[in-house]
Amino acid sequence: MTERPPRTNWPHDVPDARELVEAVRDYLADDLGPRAEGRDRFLLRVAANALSIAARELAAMPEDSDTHAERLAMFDVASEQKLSDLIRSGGLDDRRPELAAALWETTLSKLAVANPNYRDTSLEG
Amino acid sequence: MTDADETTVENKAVKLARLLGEELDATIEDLKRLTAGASRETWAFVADGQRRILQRSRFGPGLGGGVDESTLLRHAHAGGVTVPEIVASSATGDHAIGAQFTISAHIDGESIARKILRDDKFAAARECFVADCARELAAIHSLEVAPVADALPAIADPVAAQRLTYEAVGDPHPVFDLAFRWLDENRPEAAAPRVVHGDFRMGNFLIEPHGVSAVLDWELAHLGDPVEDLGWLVARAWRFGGPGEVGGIGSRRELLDTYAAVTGRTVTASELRWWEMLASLRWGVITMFMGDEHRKGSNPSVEQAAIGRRVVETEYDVMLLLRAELESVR
Repeated sequence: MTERPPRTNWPHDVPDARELVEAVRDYLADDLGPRAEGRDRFLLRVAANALSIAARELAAMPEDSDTHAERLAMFDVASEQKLSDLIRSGGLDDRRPELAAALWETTLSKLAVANPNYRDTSLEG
Repeated sequence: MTDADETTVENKAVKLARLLGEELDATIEDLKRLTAGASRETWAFVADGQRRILQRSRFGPGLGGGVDESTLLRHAHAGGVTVPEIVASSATGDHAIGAQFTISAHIDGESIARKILRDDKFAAARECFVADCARELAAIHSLEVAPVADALPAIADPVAAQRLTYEAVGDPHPVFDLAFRWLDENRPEAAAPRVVHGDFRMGNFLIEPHGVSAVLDWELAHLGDPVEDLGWLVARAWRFGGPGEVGGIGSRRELLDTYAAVTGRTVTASELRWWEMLASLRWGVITMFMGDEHRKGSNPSVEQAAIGRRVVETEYDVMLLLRAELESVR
């Protein structure tokens, strides 16, 4: 590998948070994992997977947060809690298709971080 | 496992073997712990040459779930449900073996979904899996209610039960709020309460090459609408990567047809979707709760932490169902 990823975490040094997380993930998955047995082996896989989620979240932020704020603004709220309250009180009953479309987009961006393999476009109709 | 853990387990096993010997008036050999949860343990052993399974709980009936499993399992066995025969049990809350325990015959079979879905030896079992599920559900749902009325909690409003947990965690998920609202608006007509297994899904069956050999894990059983069991069975969380909608194997249509054939009760596709949405929501609320337990520090573990991030899988499943419903309305 010759091409370094871009540096964005000034004033901190590199490897940055995401790269450190990935390094630990690879150590757990590739070095420790194959040597472990039973429950330890299972938990190492869980741990490596958790670090993959963390790495993807670090890569997706703050862009995902900004897009999310824009989607909240479509419904004149500034927080997830306020959107939640508005749906519960029936305040968005007359905008349901629009709401469903926005929630769908948010769900896809969350899923792309937490478990991209879970998405199955054949079920999306 | 550390040395200290092993010593504790060993001491526990010596004591338990003595108690089991007294309870069954038998010689106990090969006592092994199979699983250990926060409140439940499963052990395997041999009593006078016969293989037995012990399930014991820290909590008696009425606490921590409220199911008197020994009464329920004896009733289910007599009613033709494929469950292990109970040879000894107690639900008094103060027995030395456990506040509640059952000792049953050992039944051969595989419970690991990955193997059931992929191994050649289960090819025939996969062929009849949906029919087996329909037959077991029919047997469970036609059990007489009166003899177990005091052994089971009655859940009159299954939506409220999930909402309660959701609100207790207090972490806003607008997808769930929309789903709760939609479920409230589209409730199916209330059915006469029946025995509902409550956790009827791939992973809780023992499977032999010829088909289902036991239906396990009855601790969430209750009185309610039987379609709940069908909705839970088809939820995506229990497909384990298999292509079929029913536990990764069969289709929803096949399940509804075979269930109607054995019970005489027609469940519509939209009724099933309602319960499937509630099932996804229920699994979502559970994953949220487990992630929250980790964050609160009450039960920190990397496994719990990782499960917390599975919430969005259920949001995705809920959104798939909601989108289909909203489009059919438009």
